[in-house]
Amino acid sequence: MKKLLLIKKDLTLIIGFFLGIILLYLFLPKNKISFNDLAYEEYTKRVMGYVNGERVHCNDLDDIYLCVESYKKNGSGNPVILWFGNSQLHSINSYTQGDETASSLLHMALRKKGYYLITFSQPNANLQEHYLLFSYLLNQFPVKNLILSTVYDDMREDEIRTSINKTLEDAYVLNEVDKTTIGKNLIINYKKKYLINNDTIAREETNHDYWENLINKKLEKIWPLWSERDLLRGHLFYNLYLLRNTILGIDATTIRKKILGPYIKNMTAYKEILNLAEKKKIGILVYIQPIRNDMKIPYDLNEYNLFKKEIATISEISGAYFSNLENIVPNEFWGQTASINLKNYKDLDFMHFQAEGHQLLSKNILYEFNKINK
Amino acid sequence: MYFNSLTYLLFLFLFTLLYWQSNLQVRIILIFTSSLLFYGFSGLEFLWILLFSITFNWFLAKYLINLNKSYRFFLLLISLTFNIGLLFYFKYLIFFINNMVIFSNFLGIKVDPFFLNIILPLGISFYTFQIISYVLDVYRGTIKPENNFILFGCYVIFFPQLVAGPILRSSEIIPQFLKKTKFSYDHIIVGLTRILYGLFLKVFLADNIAPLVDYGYAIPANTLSAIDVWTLAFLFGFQIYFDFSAYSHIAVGSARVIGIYIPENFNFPYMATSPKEFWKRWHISLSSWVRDYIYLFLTRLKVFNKSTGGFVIKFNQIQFFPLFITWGIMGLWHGANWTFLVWGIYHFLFICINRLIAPLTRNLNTIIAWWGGLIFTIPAMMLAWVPFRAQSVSDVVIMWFKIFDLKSYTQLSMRENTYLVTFMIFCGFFITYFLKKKIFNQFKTKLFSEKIFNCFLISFIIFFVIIFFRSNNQFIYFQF
Repeated sequence: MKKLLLIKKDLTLIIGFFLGIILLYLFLPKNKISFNDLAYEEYTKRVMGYVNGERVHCNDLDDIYLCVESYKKNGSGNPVILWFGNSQLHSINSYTQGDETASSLLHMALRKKGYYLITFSQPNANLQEHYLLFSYLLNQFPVKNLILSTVYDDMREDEIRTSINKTLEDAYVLNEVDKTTIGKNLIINYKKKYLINNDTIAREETNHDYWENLINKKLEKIWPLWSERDLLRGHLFYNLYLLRNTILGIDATTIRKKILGPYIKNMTAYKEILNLAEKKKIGILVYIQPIRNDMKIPYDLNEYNLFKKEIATISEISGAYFSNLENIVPNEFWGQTASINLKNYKDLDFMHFQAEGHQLLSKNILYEFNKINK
Repeated sequence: MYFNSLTYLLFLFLFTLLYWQSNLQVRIILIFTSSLLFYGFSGLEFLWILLFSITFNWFLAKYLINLNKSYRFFLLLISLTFNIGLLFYFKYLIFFINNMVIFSNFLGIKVDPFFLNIILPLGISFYTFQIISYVLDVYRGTIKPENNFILFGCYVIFFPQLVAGPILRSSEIIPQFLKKTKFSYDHIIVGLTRILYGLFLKVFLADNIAPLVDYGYAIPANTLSAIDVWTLAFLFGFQIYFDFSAYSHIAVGSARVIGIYIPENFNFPYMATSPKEFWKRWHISLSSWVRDYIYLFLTRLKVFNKSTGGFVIKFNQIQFFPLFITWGIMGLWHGANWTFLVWGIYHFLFICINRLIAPLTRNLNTIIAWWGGLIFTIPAMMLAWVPFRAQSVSDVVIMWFKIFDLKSYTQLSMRENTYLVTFMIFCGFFITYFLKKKIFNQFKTKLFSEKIFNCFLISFIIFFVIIFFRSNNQFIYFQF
């Protein structure tokens, strides 16, 4: 009887172990998921700016080589205008064949004036990321101007994505950003994140690290699920996000409050972008990004107004040109988005407009740009 | 070697396999060599210090017993000077020099700062305390010195507890090394289950809380609100608890797979109903060490033997100075920073408050006293973590004062998820406690239900451990 009980105990652990493994396989998504593109689904399409088949619009360091090649081929020698923004610049709501983004349209318009526009946009891009990217691109292109989109929603963001953090592997960027407090902070966080985000990376060259890397690599070969763990983590967090939104009744119209920590960091990064531009004698056009205005916007209005005021004041002090473009896209040119919770209904899209919106944005930016480059 | 690594799991597997195949003599040698291998894996440079410290103290203790009183005391002083000196050099010298430079400049004596590059050897605070307790016990005659060097070495460097405790007494562990334990599946099952629990606490809970805590404490203290301070205090309180108790779970489990019992280091500390009780539930091996070798040593003249037996300390005879010294040492043991001293003083004050109000609460209804104690103790103990994690004493002061600023209770400086996660963990902690203490005991009477429950619990743990297993996040207590 005693032996029988022991066997039962053994089985508990073994059965539990195998149940856990089965659970992992059941949870593993069938297809690779791009977590950046989850918000798009059927309503919005990701469209990168092309002109005559050449890329003039990139995301980050992962695809920058395409824009560099295009510039070398078509625009070499021309002064470069950089345009930074978030997913609004590379998304077209209710897309139809032939629709173009503002980046393509503005590129064509500026080419006629002898400028070469290159756009960089990332979903939920924050100003700290723009600061790193700007520092990096200064050493890649002969930059004349920077067009900078400022988004209240993205002031809540604080994560620096890996494809932007890579800029800190560049000695020029490292040296440049190390001169500022926010830059120093970004370097420290980069070093920390580099270790955390690499499941199998060596910390230092110790025996332990050597063996850990070796065993991890062997395990990945023997058991493919081991290398899919980042996907499982992402999938788990995404589902928790949907669950949280469902339980707390969060949707696209829910008011997003200012988060002081990221807000201060992003505002500091914004000042450093302007300082760097001033130092390098680069003209800047700062604008408040268009937002849907047929509904109550999902911001605390007092906080939003203060944000706009602060952006304008800082740009004025630094000699940058400021323009508020929040209302340039009429209501009919906006659309819908997939739900951000488990309830299966559509949500209003406050961020991405239709092709007509892109035309208007391009036209307005050109108008403002002409003012600073008379 | 780190517990949360594949290397360690493979090492433990091979070690266990060899251990159960060996006779007693080989087992002892195996524990000694494996522990050296375990320590040397993270770098050989500190292995020599560890070996020298063991050899030196073993010799001293061995010969100390045969000498007359004054020579014994002299050898004890040599041993204490050596051990404390070693700890001082590696842990406190930079801190001491920096503060001397600041102090000299404050007095108007111009001294230029200079930099020393001293790296703290892994586990030095733990193994030094363990060696000190051994030498003191031999000196007091509580134990006999160990003649077998390897056996003494096993006591100090036994790998499950070498880097971050529990701090063991030689009488607890050496007899177990000498006993030829028979193989039992029960050891393996219980040991592995404890390791799994530990990994779950570390890789799923502690490591996922860590970025939120790091983020919060990186925000300038003056921009934090009262809600932020409370949240960060609780969140770090949970992080350090999960992290350290995870280590202890793995330590206990790793020893158990070879049939060795290591005492528990934690017992739901946040369910304590007084600061005094908290220290009976948190890092039990350290608090008992400090009690036995510092506090009772300092107060030995102040306690008396009552006719009914046992040591009784009357409230009016409590010496606050020894208590203050004890807590100061306890604080600085954790690290060379003023913030740790503040942490120690904070606990000293709460222990004093506890002693002052304890007689007043004796006649209270049990339920009211329990809930009242809990409601007072949790926030008080959580706020104690602020100096443990903050960058400077000024940050600590700013953060503590924030909680009295009623206006700042409406502002938030961190992402909403931080508050949500803290709340969920807080609730989860209580639910787990009541499940374990009240509900789970009922399962035990129904064998079948218990098995099913365990199966699901283990599958759930396996699921999260595999997804989140990373060897890059060190245990917090490694830095001490």
